[in-house]
Amino acid sequence: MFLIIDIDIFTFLALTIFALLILTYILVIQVVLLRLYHGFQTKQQQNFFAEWEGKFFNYLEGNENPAALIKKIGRRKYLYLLRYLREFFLMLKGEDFQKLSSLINDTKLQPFLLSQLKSGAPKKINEAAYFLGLAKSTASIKLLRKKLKSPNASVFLSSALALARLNDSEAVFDILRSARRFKFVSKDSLLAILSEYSDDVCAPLLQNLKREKNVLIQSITITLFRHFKFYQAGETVLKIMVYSQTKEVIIESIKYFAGIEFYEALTALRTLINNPKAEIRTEVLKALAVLGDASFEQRIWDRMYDSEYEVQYNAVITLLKLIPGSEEKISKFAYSDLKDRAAAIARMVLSERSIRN
Amino acid sequence: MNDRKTILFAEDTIHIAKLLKFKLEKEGFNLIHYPSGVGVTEGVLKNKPDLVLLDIMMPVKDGLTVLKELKSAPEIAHIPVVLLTANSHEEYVVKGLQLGAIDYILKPFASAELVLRIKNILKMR
Amino acid sequence: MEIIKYIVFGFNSLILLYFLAVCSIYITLNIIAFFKMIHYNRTVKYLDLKRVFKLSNYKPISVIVPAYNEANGIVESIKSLLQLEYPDFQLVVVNDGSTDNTLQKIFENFSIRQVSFTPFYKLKSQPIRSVFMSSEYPNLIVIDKENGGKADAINAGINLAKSPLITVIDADSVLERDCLLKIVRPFMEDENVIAVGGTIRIANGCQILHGNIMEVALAKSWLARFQVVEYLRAFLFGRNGFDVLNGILIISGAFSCFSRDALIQIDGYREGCIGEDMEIIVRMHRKLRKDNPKLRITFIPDPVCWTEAPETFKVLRSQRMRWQKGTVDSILLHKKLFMNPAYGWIGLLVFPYFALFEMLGPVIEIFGYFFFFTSFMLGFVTISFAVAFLTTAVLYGVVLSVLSVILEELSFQRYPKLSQLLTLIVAAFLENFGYRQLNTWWRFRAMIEYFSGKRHWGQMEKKGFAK
Repeated sequence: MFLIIDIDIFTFLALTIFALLILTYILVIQVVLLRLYHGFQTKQQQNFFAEWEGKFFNYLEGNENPAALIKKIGRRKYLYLLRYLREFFLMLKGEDFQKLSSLINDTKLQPFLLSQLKSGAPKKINEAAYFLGLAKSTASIKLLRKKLKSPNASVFLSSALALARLNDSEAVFDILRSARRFKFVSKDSLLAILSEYSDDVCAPLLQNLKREKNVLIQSITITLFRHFKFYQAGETVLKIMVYSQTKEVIIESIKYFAGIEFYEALTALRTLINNPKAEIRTEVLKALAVLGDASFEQRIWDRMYDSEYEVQYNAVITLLKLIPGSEEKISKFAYSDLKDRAAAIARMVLSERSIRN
Repeated sequence: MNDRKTILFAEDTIHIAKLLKFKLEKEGFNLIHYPSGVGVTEGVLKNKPDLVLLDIMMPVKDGLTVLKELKSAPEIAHIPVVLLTANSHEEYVVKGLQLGAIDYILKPFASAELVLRIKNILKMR
Repeated sequence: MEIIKYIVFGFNSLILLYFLAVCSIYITLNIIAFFKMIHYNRTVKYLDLKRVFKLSNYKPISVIVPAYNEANGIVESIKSLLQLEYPDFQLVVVNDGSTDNTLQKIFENFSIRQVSFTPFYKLKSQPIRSVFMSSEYPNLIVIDKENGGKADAINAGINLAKSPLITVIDADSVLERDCLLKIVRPFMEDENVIAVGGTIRIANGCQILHGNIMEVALAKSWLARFQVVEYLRAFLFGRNGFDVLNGILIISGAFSCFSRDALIQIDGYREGCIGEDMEIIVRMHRKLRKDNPKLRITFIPDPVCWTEAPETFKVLRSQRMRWQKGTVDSILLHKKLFMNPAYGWIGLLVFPYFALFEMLGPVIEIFGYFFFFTSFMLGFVTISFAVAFLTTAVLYGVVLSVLSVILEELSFQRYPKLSQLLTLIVAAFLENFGYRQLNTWWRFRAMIEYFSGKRHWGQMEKKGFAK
């Protein structure tokens, strides 16, 4: 008598699939339970919001002691409270904002958030970092700097965002250099985070830029200078642009000059307008609309015969913006040759202009 | 004479809407709230408020579209419209002023400032 | 007798292996796509998209909307499209020789004036009659042209569009406000990206107001519910899994974005093509990636585009038959890619996959079922084999379907009510007992029709843009 059942491969296959099916349904049950739990939590949250709202509005109006207000809430509900306050942090400033941050910084909420920050769980850390940053809790800076070194990308990002909101200039360089550790942290994410700094981060950034070799950091720094309209970096950026081989750095520099109206860059632009890369030529043309003068007219006209559509298009736009009275000349050109692409582009731009009036 | 002025406002973020309602009611205004641009023009035609506060970025019908409608209906075109917007995009603000908004307030805002501005505008009428 | 037994057994085993492979591949794709999703969600969380726009190199977009006989919905469509959040975009509405009053409706609502315009490019399309712009909405341009079909209309739009990025949508797609901000991101992050597809979700049952999704819900009809599950397992978590190999062969025409330069380089859409949305992507791989394999075609997982799915058998059948013919068309036109190492993973893996499983799939499956049942009736098949066969052909599919619903729940959770989740789970189970097989049958019929010459549009269908 065999105790082992003789299974052939087909029965085995069928059994495996059945097993997978059961596994899948176990997952279904888990997911449903998760939903129910979230639903329950949301309900709790809504109840809390409703209850708390009146107290909060009165607090904003009046002079109540924040610590006393927080004492009335159980520690378990702290997260509900913070989530309720989130929108307000993003929407308010001035006295309202002071009162809001006081609600976190001068009460038991701060130590609570700091302890969450110290914990090991990324989710908890991220949420805590988020609120500490929003509330501008300077007490959390040291811990946040430590978290910047985390191997977990989301922890890095959330700490970086918090430090930026806290305007911690020491962290700027850690943020810029650490980003290289993470493949998916894009330039966009870094810019979004770094633009949360206030403009006194520009001076240290400038000092660094003078000896910076990494092109990504150069590019991001110059973009930030444009965002903050930091005029003092003009000369340094000009030097970098003239010697740079990287398209992105050159483009950001041109945009910067246009943004701060740095006329000293014009000489360099005179050469760059004929750069072999189309994106650079396009960018120069856009900048000339702001910085250029009549001496550029011929060069811009030449660009109307460029091989690339984008360049041609921007040449027409720039001429119209820069040179008074050019509309007549362009009109003549536009209707002179119906087949030429440059003329077609000119016609389109003129049509758009006339339809706006 | 009932000198409680009426403000009609359209704002899709519920928390902010509630805060605005609270603050402005405390200052003695009547508030009518719309959670999006839908129905605002009709509401203004019906209630003839003293001021309209419009958020620009709202779902379905944004603030600028509503503004256009308000300014092209002769019976209500005189009502002052203040734009409340999270965009620091100059384009939207300029467009709004061109369309006839009397003022704009950027988010983040200080509620005390908002109240003062509204009061000033209404005093001028 | 013995030999026949072995041959029959051999065939049946191959068929069993086929079913096993199809499902296993899809499950693998599902899991790969899921991890991509998680990764994506994590990155998007920290970004205020509108803010970053000004800082980064976001390019202007031209949104092309081909329209044929859309008088009922065109005005509302255009109004909601004009409210898309994107600081610099142009809306190009192409009236493809509509026979109803589509054009008239547009004239009445948007302060239209005629302008003189010559195309910048020379993609093949039927002649343009006139071009109009709106004085009230400076970024709206309307092209009126002779009828030529969807691909033709899009080409005309590309010829006149002024932006370096071209987004193509269907006139009745319901788009979320920030869809342009989202679809442009892959182009921002990687300058090698030449095409990005949006993920399509089923709008049936959702509350829609003025072209905006107000509330996500499930349709009451089971046919629509099955399609929701199908879109999850086959498109969202399915074919998009090939993105890891840079192997996406089809992106939906309902919402997709291209680099204009890439489109011009390959001479635009192919006219008279049934599956123009697949054909153009395959052609992009073939013509552009051979010399520059770094170029990428990718997708965004965000549910930003919602579309109405057929709720009657008749319409669904014609849609699925058309899709199948389109697939066959695209594959045969570019059969050069098959097993061609010059095209990397596309040639060696993805294209053969499509050829074998998507194109020939229905034939193998129908033949397989038929062969299996006949041999079972004739007593050639053991019970254990029969059980294994049915389990693999049907129950394994349940595993896949339910898995994709779970993955949706864990990543996007677009269905807010628990009852909707449960309904989807039930639909995931049921769809394998008839719906999937019916689909296979339709696709099989499409294959027969195609190869017996009925591969072109019938009179009625040619003019319109069917989906």
